[in-house]
Amino acid sequence: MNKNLNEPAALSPPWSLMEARDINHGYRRRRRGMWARAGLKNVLSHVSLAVGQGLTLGLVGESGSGKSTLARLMLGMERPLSGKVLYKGNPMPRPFSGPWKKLRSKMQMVFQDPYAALDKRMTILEQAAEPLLIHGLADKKTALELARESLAKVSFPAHCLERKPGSLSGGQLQRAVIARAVILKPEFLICDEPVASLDVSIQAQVLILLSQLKADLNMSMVFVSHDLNVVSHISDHLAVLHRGRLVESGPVKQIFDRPAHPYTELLLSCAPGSKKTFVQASFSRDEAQASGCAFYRRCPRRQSECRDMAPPLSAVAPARQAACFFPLV
Amino acid sequence: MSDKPMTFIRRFLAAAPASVVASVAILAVLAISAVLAGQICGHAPEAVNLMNRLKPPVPFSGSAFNHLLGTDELGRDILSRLLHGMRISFLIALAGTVAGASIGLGLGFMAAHFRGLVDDMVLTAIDFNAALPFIIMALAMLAFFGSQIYIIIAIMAVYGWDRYARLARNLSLSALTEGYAGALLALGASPGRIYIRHILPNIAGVLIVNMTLNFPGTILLETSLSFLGVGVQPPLTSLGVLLGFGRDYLTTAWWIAVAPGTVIVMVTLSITVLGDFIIGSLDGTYSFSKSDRL
Repeated sequence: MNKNLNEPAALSPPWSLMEARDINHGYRRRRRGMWARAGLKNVLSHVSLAVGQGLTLGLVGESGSGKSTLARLMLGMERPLSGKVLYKGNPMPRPFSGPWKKLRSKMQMVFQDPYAALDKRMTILEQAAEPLLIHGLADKKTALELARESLAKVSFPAHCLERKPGSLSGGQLQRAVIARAVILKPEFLICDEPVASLDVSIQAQVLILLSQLKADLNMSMVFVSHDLNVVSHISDHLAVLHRGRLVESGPVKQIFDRPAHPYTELLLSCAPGSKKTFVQASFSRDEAQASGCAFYRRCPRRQSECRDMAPPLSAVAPARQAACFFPLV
Repeated sequence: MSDKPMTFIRRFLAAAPASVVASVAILAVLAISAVLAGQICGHAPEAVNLMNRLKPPVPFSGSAFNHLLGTDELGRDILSRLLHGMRISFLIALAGTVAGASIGLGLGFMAAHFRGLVDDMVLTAIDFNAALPFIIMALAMLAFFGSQIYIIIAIMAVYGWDRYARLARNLSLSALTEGYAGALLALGASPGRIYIRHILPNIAGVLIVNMTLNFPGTILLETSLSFLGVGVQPPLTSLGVLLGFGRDYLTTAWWIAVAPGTVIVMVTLSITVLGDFIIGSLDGTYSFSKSDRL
């Protein structure tokens, strides 16, 4: 593969806690019956990125761009078809193996839908205590005590501790999910669209809570979202995914000021409150080749070479990379 | 609600319509009398008294109060035979339902957990089971292995397991892919903890509803098999056996068939009414349109 894809130099952190190297991943298409042959749907191709110690990486892209898949791979829930996921420089152990289970206490996840992520038949307090019990780190009584503290830290209302999820609001539930995720004091937290299902008024509170926790516990974070405004508030670095490819990465501020890739520019212009306008090209009738740039059909700056060859991810400025032959910077 | 049974009963009485309360009452009376069969009536179910043949039940002329439901062609007390028959029928239906639910749950959880080939095999077995003309297979099995009680129970289990398996598999899969079980997986919880402590309590409502749907079918299947003569064998008796013997006397001594027939109708109807009520009172996430989706 292209040499410069293998170097996640763009996010040059002091040192990286989590690193993805040249990840390719796909899922088998649903088979029709037992004897049918399975097809493969490609989800990620040649994605490399790194999350710096104590920093937050924002992962953005439209739906279906592979954000959540990348999050699952970084969490080690699945193995990539090719490429490596490194945690503190060590390869991610096989899912559900012994070493993998040990790693669970170091990395945690906050889910998009707090209604779904909690067991409807258990009280919030019990559920927040569960990570401790799962990893055998405390007996039941201490676990509940620690859960009480953890829930207090995320400002979960104290009189609701014994309630079940059904009678609580989305914001309260997301606080409970966060309390459960941070009770083990993880080093690495993945938030998969943590505020997408919440009211705008609650979103801000949860974002503030997350950045406070990140500072308190000295966590590194990956923040997956399709909402650029949300990401800009909380992230240090940004990685933009488009159809399973990394199209741009770099420090948030710089990307927001001057996006390098036309697709990033499109995303920014779509964010509510944006003053930028993006003139989308009329859909080109000549199909891009499979080998060509995936954004070809929508790109206003397309040239003939974009159709035949995919632009590699290359440096466009210090600490910034973009996969475009004609970057805007 | 478990710590205050009286409030639970009061709430149930307030919420349930009269038909449901009546069903519960009927089921309770039948269950208690089946359990206490030996204590309730003085006659042994197989005590023959040829002098007392074909006595009609009580309000009719020629009846006697020591045979409330009359006697059959050998002078045996029908009430006593009915109560002992209910005992066997309920035992078979209950054991069969529980065994079927356990098999189905186990296979469904395995399919959801391992996916891939295991999932394919379980799904194929479910389709296979659903496509079988069941009564013919049951007849063949009983003809092969004989009509012991445990064989009949095994057949009842095979009759019902596929729906439990499908429910368990689908509900676990949706919990694992987008729900609380997936979250627990990411926390590093063991499969045992996820399936027993979390998924099982969450899908218990659906399973109980399925049991109430399955139970009457199981009773009917047992009675059909016994009616055909391959089910429960004399001297043991069951509702189906009673119905089968009563057929020969339908024109001369209708009460022999009517007594077990009435009990079968009452039990199946009551359980179905109760099941409908439970479906209605479960929360919306367990609507059947969702659980039946593959």
